[in-house]
Amino acid sequence: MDNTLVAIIIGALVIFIGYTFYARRIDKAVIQSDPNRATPARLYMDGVDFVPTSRNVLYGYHFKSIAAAGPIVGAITAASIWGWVPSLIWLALGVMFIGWASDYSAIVVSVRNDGNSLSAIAHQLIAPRTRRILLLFIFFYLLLVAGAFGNLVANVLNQPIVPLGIIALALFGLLGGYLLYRKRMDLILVTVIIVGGTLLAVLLNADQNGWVATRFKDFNGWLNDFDKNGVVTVINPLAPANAQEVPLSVSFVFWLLFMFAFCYLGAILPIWRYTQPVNYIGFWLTALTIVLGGLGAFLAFFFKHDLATFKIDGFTSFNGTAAAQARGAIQPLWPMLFVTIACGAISGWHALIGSVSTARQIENEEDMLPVGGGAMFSEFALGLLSLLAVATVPLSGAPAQNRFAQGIGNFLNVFGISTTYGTAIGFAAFVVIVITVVQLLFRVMRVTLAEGLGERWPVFRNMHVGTLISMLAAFVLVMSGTWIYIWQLFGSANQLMASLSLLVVTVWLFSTRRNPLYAGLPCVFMYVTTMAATVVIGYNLWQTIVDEFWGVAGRGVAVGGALVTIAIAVLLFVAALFIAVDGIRAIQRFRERPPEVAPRPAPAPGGASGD
Amino acid sequence: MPAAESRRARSVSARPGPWPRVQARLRRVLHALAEMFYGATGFEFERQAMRVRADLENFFIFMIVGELIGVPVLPPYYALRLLPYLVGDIAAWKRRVLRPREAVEREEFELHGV
Repeated sequence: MDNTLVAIIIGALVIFIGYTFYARRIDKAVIQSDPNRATPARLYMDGVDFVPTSRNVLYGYHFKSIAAAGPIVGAITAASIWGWVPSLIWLALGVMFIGWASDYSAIVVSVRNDGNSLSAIAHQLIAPRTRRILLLFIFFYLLLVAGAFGNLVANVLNQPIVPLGIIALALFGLLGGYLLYRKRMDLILVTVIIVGGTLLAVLLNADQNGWVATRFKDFNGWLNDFDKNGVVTVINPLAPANAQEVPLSVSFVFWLLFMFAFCYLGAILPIWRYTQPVNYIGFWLTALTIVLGGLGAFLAFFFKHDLATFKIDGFTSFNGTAAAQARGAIQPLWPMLFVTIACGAISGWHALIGSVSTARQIENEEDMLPVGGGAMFSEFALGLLSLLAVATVPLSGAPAQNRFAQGIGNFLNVFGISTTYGTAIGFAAFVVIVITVVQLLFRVMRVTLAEGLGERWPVFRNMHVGTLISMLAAFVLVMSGTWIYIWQLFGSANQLMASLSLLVVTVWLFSTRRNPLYAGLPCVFMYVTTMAATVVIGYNLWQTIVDEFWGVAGRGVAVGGALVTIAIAVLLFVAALFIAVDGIRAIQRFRERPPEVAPRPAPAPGGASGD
Repeated sequence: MPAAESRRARSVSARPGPWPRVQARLRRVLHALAEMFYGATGFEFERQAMRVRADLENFFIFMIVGELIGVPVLPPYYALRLLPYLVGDIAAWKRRVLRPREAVEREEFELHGV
């Protein structure tokens, strides 16, 4: 039972049953998608934002856009705390009953409301302040993602077998933008140069004892000689009890700053010059990993059975591993599992932002389900692959991302690719997926800052100022925060946004006299769960860091970081309360309103009745 | 032979066997896969190119008929000669420039799946 083939069969059944018997039914019975109804893309076709697009093209675009780091990191972290069985169950049930509904409904609401975004519809249906609160939510959500991902990227880059591929990614990204847009070179030729070059750099750096890796090892050693005790000490509650105080080395800080430099280019250069080609290279590396890794996970059962067998516990305990409970922390499966695995099961960000562009390109109402729901089911498959990769590698004290890379290396080994190179590709794919997201996070953060504060303080409109402030905030969070709690708080913010987007959908369903249960019930479940999780995270931060280390010399940074994170948790909690109160009022408003009567047709000329 | 019978006979003889149907279905699947692949790779470049062109066009039309959206621009008199070429685009242009936008609308590339 505990092997990749069984998990893949379960995943395939979830997708088939969820899509065919539930999603399609909702699409037909509740939403009543009508191929003859004109969509905003057809009504307002302007060749830019509103463009009717084939459902297959749109599916590819939407899936590529949502298939990022969230489903990978969440699944591998949760499997390490509670085991692979609860993680698999939540991934499956989450996507089947909530995830697809959230993504699909956001597109539906947008399509049925002239292509307006979800926050504009919230402004209109719920309350004007909802939009402002969502903007605040988005900024802190992005800050938490930047803090969580920044830590991961710096940790992985600090390993000597990784950096060359990422340096090459930046350089080939710049080259790609130049060749494509300035030299107008053919896309296929540019693809061969930039993707091939980056892949070559990844493989050159793969061997632990090779020339390149040795140079990076020496370089890191040279940096660490400056301060052998590390720059600051943070707390890692998931480490063994005697190793939870982790000094952040000088080389870690160097690679963190390298990541910021990488992202600075992404945040300030025109999108075509750097971000777009970097993401394009990233897509190829990711696609290679997903396709070969997925096939390898399936075939491993038949050809390399040992690689297909799960090596970690199916279920540790309701409260997670003993390490997760050290220093009095609590990690109860409910609600914490539901925020640790966010994107693979359900993601609020997809709904809030994804609907803006995708909904305006829907050509036919019948495409809403395959594009919105179908892409979310595919993202579940990515979360499942990550879970398989990490579950087939034994717990060894190594971080989850290392075990993920090793698991991918094992799956690629089924095709005869050496584990050394396979693991390097796994590492590269992981960093590429994360770093391509982080560079855009800072871009969006500076835009959000300019939008929120630029009117009062014009200095925030300066893109360098906005970017540097965002990076400074993320730097403080990485250097002082506790990774697992930042990640879980990010998950809470993400799932809260999901429940808020489902709230908008529920209000819309009420306002149009449709059955709101398919969105309303998940909305209530996610809301209660994530509010409870936010409280637990605040408690854990207080219990394990503030209470434990208050006044202890040398731990002031960790205590300060914990207090900042608690403040963000409180802010998100209060913001979510405001939105919920406004949402309930809006529902009452629509329930009390008498049903709209269809207008009587005008009498025909000559006095005949129009009935 | 009555017309209906002859039509039936023709349709029976012209009905394709299973292989052409499989071929046709395979072609459709391959076409769909090719489209999905394009959606995941080249489509974003196409959208970017369209946006850049639209930005230039927005500005160009704005310089000529900016008064239509309440901005007092004084176009040179010879811009009148361009009007016939712009008339078809003016409605879409007005919708595009007057539509309320989200703060992060132009920056959402690839960020859907954080």
